[in-house]
Amino acid sequence: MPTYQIPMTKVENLAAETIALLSLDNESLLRVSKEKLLSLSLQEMLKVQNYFRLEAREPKDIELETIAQTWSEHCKHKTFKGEIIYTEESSEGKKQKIYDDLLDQTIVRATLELKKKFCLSVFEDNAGVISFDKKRAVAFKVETHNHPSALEPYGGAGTGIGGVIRDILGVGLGAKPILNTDIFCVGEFGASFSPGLEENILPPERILSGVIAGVRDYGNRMGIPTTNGAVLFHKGFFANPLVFCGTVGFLPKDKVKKKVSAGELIVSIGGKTGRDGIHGATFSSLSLQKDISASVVQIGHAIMEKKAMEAILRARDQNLFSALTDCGAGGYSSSVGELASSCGAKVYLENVPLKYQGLKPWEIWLSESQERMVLSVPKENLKKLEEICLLEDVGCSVIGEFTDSGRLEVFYKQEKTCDLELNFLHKGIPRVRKKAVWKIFPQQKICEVPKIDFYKNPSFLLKSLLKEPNIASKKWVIKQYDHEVQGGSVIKPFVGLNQNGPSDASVSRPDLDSWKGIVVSNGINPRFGELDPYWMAANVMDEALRNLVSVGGDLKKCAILDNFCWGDVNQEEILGGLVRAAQACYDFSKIFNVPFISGKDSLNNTWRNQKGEVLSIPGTLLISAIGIVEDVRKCVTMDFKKIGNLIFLLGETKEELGGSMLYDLLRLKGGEVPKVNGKGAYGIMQSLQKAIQSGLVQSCHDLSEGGLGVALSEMCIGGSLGAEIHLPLDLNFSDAAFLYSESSSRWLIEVEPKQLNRLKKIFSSAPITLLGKVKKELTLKIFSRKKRIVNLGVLEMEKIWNSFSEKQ
Amino acid sequence: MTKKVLVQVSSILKKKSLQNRKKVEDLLRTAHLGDVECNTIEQLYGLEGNFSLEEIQRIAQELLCDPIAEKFIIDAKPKDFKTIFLDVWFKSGVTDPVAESVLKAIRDLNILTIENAFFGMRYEFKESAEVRERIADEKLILFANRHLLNPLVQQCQLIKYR
Repeated sequence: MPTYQIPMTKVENLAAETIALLSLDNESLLRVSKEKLLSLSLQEMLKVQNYFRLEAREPKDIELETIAQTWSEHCKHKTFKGEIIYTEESSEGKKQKIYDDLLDQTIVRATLELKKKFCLSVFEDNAGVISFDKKRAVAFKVETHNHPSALEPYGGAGTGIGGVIRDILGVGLGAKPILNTDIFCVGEFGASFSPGLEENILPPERILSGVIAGVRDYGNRMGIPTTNGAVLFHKGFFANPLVFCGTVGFLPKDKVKKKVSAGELIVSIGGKTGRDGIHGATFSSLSLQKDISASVVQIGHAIMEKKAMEAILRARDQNLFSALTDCGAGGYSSSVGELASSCGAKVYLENVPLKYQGLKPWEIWLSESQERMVLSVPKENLKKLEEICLLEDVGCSVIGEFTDSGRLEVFYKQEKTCDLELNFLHKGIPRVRKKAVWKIFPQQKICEVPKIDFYKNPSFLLKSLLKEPNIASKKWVIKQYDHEVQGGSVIKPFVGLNQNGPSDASVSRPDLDSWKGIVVSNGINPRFGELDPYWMAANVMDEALRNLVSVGGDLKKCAILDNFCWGDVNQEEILGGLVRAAQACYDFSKIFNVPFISGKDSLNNTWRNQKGEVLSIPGTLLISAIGIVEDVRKCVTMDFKKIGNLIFLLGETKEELGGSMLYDLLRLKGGEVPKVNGKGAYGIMQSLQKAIQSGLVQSCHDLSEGGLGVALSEMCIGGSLGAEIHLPLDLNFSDAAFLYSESSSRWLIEVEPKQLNRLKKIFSSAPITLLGKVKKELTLKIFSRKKRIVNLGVLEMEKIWNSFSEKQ
Repeated sequence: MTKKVLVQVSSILKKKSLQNRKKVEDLLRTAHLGDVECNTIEQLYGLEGNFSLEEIQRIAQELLCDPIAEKFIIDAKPKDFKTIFLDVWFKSGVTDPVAESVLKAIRDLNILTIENAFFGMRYEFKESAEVRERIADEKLILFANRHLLNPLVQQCQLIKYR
């Protein structure tokens, strides 16, 4: 055991340091920003300088740090909330549009215009909240933890899920976390390291295994089921993985709103404070670089959070506090700053329980030590709260008091170390102004599948696709997560007789005395984004919603979340892609009649290697959908159910192979990215909902990566049944294109033959094609113009589909 | 007076132990260190305080070790000059949640003499004299930093036979 030296700082250095700022020129201001890792631009530094000139004093280090945290991209979404001059260049000329506030004019605007009454809290709290029933509501939030996971996958991902659980715990007056959802995007396995990068980054295999373990250990130990997720592989995530962690919470409707009042105590519940995660918020706005301090990485402590959760939920039910929030990025500076934004606060840092001595005041104030929540507690309730915390064995400390001064005042041992006007802190940030460009070129159309003679080796493509990591089973990941804890999961990640078919969405019952349930699904596709971010956004919205509808979800009681992960948005073309994706979010939110309730952006996902080259990730949008189902017993799964049942294809297949898994497999570039016919898709979804609710549909599976061919294989695997399929005779493109096109808004449904007339009535105005039948023989046979082009055993397909997972 | 002790906990389930060792040996081969064998991978608990040996035995038996699937050794040393321990610990200041839980559980056992706890992993490697001449300690540490730990938050220490 090594001798442990706790990082002590000499006692004489503990006082807040004054930073001479007032007389600095522009160059020196930027130097201060860089040296102190503030991530503030010159414009922002000048604003800060001007503020302190008006205050007629130099700032203390803790004040600069507080401003930097509050004004970070992570906390203030400067790009999304800034002014963007967007220019679209095409063969027809240039078009310009100015967005005064991209977020407000796209995503928030759609929600405001849709005016959904079931939305109870949107874009104002830690998470979006929608109505569940008369008395209860559900909250949903998805966060990213990309940079920490790139550096320390286990700790980064663990604290990612821990953080989003605290978001849910801190929404309104506290929601009980009921399920988790996790999506990971990593580099392709087995990729060779370029010499410049080798010393600085972890290989994708190690990143993914660490990320999985981090989320597993945190979620499982917290007693929260992980019911939904995805794993994606793409060379663009080689140096910068994306780790999306989401949590759904359940809370009483009368606990949806919070209000802080002057005179109430600021109480910190949970873990102690150390140097963990210092500069996390500003760090998340920077590109990944070498020589990053260990202090920006946090390691989570799930058991501590579990205890804090129990204490908070008990205290909530006894009405012991009037507001709370989690300590996330920026630590107390952010959480107390947010809660005090409409009143004021005095904080006494010597009252903060520390893991070890020697922390400077600004370190205590900014530390991102995990598992801490901040509450606003009326003085008369403190004793009861302390009793609950004692029973739950969790720390509880009064660290200050809310005031009506409009100022954020922080003291350390009688010295006032921070005194900032809250209005300046929250509204003083100068607006960012950026230019964005998007160039529209005619897409290269590739009609043929040139490198492989499909007819000579008819099953080859399907077999190859089934073992592609993006399509293959993620069993080795999924089986590490607890899906059963809390007892409410109805449709789990694997379905079917042998629990081996990949589910489209999860369904859970938050109240075991009711059949009412929650559907959670997601859509994500960075390959489409490489071709056109507008159509990527449209497609992933379509994917999230068609997954939701596949299991029986209802678009009328559904809401969505956005998570944008983008590269270097200081590059005009990359920012142009972001603008296009945001515009598509507005357009399709309106068409699908589904509001956004929450979201988050993670920008500057770039890696600067030793040569100074900047590598940006492919712009990626995750759409997560949540819906309410009246009766979970009417929900359906994707596995084939009964021999002799008819198999129908819903939706229209086009020769849209751009960004498809087939092109990825064949290393082909270009092609048509699938376009979403929003109104048509909405119509089919409504008909499908009706068909599922009336009990007509035995199984339903959406068509996504790998198209029709892969969806059929998965339904056979899930149902341990075979199928005989006849492709339409009137195709005006190749069989391969029909089988592997990734056109949007399509499903396979299984229906009993006796229900044919009812089915025709429901889908009278929707494109529907009879493809074949479910068969007893464990083989998938596909015929084209009476010629058998695929003949694969279901067991063989299952073995191939599982092969990638078995290797891990 | 503050004392230190190491409790080494290892699985007695051969299959599990073999799987983990195989993974490390595969990594050793990839790193061109195929002549180095990985004998065992064990959990390591470091305890500090003014404790008695009886207290440590009780902690190991009742808390750190699952008597059905695991065994423990207190203050193990490399048994010969061919054996090297590579111990991996969190760096100071990094949250060590397992150690925090262990410390709490020790107090729940009403043992109040333990002041600090640390959690780590021990890899026991075996290399012949000939191999040792070729493979310097630095190579093994480099391998560990690349494959067995994350140097951003963890550190390792080689322990040799004396």
